[in-house]
Amino acid sequence: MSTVLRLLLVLTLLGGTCHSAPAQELGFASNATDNAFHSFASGKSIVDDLKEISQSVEKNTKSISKNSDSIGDLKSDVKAKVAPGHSKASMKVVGRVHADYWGFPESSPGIDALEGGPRGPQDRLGFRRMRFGVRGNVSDQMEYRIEMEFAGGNATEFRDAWLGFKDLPFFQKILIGNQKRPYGLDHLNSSRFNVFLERPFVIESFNQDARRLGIQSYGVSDDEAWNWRYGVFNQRLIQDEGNYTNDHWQPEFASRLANTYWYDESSDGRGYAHWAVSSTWAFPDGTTPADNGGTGPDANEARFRHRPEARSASRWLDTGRIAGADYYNMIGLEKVVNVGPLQFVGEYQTMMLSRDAAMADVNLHGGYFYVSYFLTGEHMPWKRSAGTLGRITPHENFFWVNTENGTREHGLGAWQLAARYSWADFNSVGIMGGEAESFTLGMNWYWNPYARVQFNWIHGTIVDNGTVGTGGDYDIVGTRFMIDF
Amino acid sequence: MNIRSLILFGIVLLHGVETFANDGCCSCPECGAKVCIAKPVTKKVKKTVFAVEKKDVCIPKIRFPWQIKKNQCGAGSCCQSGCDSQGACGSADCGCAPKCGRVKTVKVLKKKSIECEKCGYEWEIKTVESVPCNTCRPGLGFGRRTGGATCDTSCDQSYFAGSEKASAGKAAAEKATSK
Repeated sequence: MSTVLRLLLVLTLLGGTCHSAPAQELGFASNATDNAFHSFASGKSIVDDLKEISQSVEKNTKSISKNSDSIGDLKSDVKAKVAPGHSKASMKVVGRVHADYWGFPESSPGIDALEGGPRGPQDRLGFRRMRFGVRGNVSDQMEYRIEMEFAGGNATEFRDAWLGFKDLPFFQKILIGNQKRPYGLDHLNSSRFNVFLERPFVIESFNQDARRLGIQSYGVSDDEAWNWRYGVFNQRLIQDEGNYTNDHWQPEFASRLANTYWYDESSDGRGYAHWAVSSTWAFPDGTTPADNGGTGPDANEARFRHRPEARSASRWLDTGRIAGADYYNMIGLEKVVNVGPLQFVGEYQTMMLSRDAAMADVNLHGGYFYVSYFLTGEHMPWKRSAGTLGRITPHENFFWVNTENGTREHGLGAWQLAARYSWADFNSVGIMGGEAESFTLGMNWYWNPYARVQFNWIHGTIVDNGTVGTGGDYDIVGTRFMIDF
Repeated sequence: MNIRSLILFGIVLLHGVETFANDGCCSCPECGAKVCIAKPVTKKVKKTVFAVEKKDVCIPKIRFPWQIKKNQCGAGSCCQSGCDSQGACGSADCGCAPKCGRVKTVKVLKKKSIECEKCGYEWEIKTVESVPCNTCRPGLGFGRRTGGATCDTSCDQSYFAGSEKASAGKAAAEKATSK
């Protein structure tokens, strides 16, 4: 065979081998071409060349086969993952689990009369929250979130359930659905990040379970120093009902304006200060006598009540449905100052409720103040866009392992102590919701950014609930193990 | 069923097992039969181990509101002239520069996957090819008690298809048959 023909044959064979797959991506030995030319130049026989090429092809074929198997496995794994219903949607799964223990070691007879009788309030063990949901985007400008609450056993409820637009001119973001009303910092904070186990008297009473069906706009300034939200809501809590049926819509118009006037960027937000004002104008259906005693969808929503900042079986502060309620206006003030591991937080809310003619107006109010401190030096992050607390990141996660060297090592996690004073006065012109005062000591141990254990000890007093002279003192302890994803 | 019958039943049962176990030739596999052979192998087992590394993290000092000035880009701003180490920059005051923070050493958990070697067995199906069908060979694992000795439970791989001994044995068997 002539030299030219030999060269042409080698080149043809090599062309078929080298162009069958990208050499770099599949890890081929990429020097087959060079080797062929060198052997040709050195005068090796065509048979030797073909042998070499054949061995190279066999080796590369095995590599292709192995990589094909890996790609096949990867495709199967991807198929097995949860995916949204159509290609234009994105989806993220979210959830949280809160497991609680509540003990009631001490209670006076007046408190026993509120709950438990002679045996007093009974200890509780169970799930406070067990939520599972999805959130994501649909197209470039729409988003959604649905979150279900399973802690009630058979009584499943929803929490966040909304759809919305973002990046809008002027309005920025509008959400339609079940969402938090814009007042009460301690309620706007996620339960994943709050310092204490349960919300303070006035915050929970004026905004029971926070979420209502409504339409709300959310905005933030370019420098994130100001944020605001305003919307219209139905006052009925429908997370266990699904819908509201009544010609009287019982609407409320609520808003919040917040300002982070100090935020130290250089320390990544270890120093900041915030204030906010919020308000609501609400129009309950309290003028029909039947609405004041009922529980149906037309029931008067002018009712303010709360447990003793712990997970008791019943609510120890309770105004009942305030008969004749026509409308009410609530104003709230918030203040937060954070200096490294030390944080001061306070809120005050006052409500003026107007009733039918010949019935005196009602004034209810309350507030709280707390201080917290990280023994391990972390700080409570602040989300300026929302004006709420963010996720805590320990400097060192908690862990406890046997290492490969045979030693045992541990990480500390983040440790935080806190103390809170809270009070509420729900007695006014014949409305006997009760007067409450409590002092809470808290300890939080953050294992990592997604899990922690909390401990609260509460000493409180509730008096004149329902009737003058009722009530008494109590001591409550609570522990919560939580994780979220 | 009374006790005597139970004991009798037990004896019969045990005898049957022993007979089966002691039946040297009846226990040998027939030519062409398939048996499972254990092959000792070294397996690689994945194991998760932990290591702890130390890492230094910064705990920055805080600047209070009176120590911060707005750094807005524009004429005379810090964006244009930059700040010196004292925090002043030309005609614009950047405010106080951040003070040195402290350093904290923390532990970071590292998780690694390693491979350990572990002894194990792989089972292969082989065809009996060369064993003369009327005798038992030692080590075929078919339980032949001799004067109280225990059974050899290993299989002699050489008597199965593919081995040289198997080929030699097969040739010998064929020669014997042709005679």
